[in-house]
Amino acid sequence: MTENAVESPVRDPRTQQVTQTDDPWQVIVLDDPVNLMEYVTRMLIRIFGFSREVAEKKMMEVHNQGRSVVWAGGKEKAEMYVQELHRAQLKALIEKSS
Amino acid sequence: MNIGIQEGSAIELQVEEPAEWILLQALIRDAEGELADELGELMQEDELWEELVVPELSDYFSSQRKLVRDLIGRAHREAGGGQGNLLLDAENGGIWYAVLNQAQLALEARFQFGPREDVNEAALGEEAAQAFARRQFYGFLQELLLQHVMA
Repeated sequence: MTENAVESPVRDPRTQQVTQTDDPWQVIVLDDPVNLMEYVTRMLIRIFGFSREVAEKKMMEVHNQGRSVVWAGGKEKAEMYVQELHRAQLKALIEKSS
Repeated sequence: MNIGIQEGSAIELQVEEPAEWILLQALIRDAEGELADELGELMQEDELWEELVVPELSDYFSSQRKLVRDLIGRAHREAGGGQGNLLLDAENGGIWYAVLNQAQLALEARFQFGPREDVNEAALGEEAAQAFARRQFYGFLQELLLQHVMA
C-alpha cells in the first residue's frame, strides 16, 4: 500500500463542528518538538476534512498553546480519530467535556 | 552525499562514500522505539486501548520500518556498498516520511532535545551531538519530501 500524507480529505466536513459544548468527548492534539507544522496541518485536513484555514488555525493552537480541541462528539468516533492521529504519529487523546 | 530533487517524483540521495551508507542504515536503528506504547499511554480513558490498539499500531510502524530497511538494503547492494543512489520516491514518500518521523521521535524520547531551535549543540555530549545531527538530517529530508514529493 502506498501511504501518502497529502491524500484528499476523507472525512465528512461536518466534523469541523468542534465548538459544540454538549458533546461529551473531545479529541485533543498535543504539541511535540518533532512534527513539522505543515505536516500537522496536512494531517488535520486529511483526517477531519478541515479547510486549510481551519487546519492551520488548529495547528497554530497546538504550536502556541500546547494543545487544541480538534473534534467533539461521541466516544467511539473520537477514539477512531485518535487512532488515525496516532497512525500519523501525532500525540492525541480524548477527554470528557467539562 | 549529494541530494538531487526530481520535482514531484523523488528525492535522490547520491551516496559517494561507504560511510554514508552507515548513516542511512542508522535511520532504521534510530526509528526502533516504543512509539506505539508512548502514544497508547495517552489513551487512559479506554481500558482496552493498550490491549487492542497498541499492538496493531506497533505492527503498522514496524511494517513501515521494514519497507524502508528493504529499500536501503537493496540500494546498498546495487551500489556494492560504494557509490550509488537511493530514491525517496513519491510511491513510498509517505512511508519514508513516517520512518524519518519515527526516528526523530525515538531520538527525542531518548535524548529529550526539545524544539530544535532551542538546542545548544555545544553543550551536547558526543553521543547526543551525533544523534542530534542525525535528527537534523532526518528533519531536512522530511522537509524536502513535503515540499517537493508529497506536495
